[in-house]
Amino acid sequence: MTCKELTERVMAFRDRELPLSTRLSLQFHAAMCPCCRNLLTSYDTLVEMSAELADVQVPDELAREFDDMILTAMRPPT
Amino acid sequence: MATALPQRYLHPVAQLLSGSLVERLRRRDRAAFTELCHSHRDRLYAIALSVLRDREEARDALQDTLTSAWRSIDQLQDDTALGAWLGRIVLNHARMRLRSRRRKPMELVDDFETWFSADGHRASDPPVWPRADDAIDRARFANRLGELAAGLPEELHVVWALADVQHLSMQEIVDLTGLHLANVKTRLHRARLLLRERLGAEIGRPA
Repeated sequence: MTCKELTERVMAFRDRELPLSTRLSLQFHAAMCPCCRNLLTSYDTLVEMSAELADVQVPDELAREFDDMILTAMRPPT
Repeated sequence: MATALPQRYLHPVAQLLSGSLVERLRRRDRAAFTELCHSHRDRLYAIALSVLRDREEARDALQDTLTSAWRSIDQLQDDTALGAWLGRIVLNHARMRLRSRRRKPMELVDDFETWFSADGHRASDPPVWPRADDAIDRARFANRLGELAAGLPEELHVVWALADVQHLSMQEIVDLTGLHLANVKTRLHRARLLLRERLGAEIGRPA
């Protein structure tokens, strides 16, 4: 497996969608290639960091005005 | 004017008599619409915010969504698809806002092929990512990641935001975007690779 082939398969590897032989081949390449080991760990870090961008709370102001927003939506178009 | 009670407060027999939510919506029952909006509020706002990364714009996209939903309520088919129907509307409004915001050319369109030499190995060693164990560093990196993601091509940005920020399942993203599953995966992977490459160039150290 080449670096390019590994790069194309990182997501499938992470999602456990690769057949065993490809998985082993990928792991063997990563063991030999620091560049691709770095890719595997940083890919995981990136996905974890992306999840931290989620803003789970609806702002209080929006919650307070939400009924007005619904009424606005139901107004006939002008 | 008397306001009708939301369906959930009605006696089960009264609920049966008053019809399913979708039937009530098709009759343009204002209480049913209010109930629908409240039950999907948080999810719709979260989708808009994950795509737009701006609270004001997400709020405006939510307002546009409610308005579009009320005006097109007669297109509703069945109860089970209500969430996906609203999700598609909010995603469309968020994408329109995203497009109107992006007048300058994308800066993050890297050519994947150029990363590799003819034999399939990396043409040059990419920067090594630091360990972001420190909470402050991690928050800083995450913020920068959000800024960089705004420069992704729209079709990649939307899928990345829904999958990695909003944590929607692949099937939910398929339902919302109308893309094939394989396309969703390809776009997500490409977005991650571009973000990793670009963020690595800023925060990494030479290999």
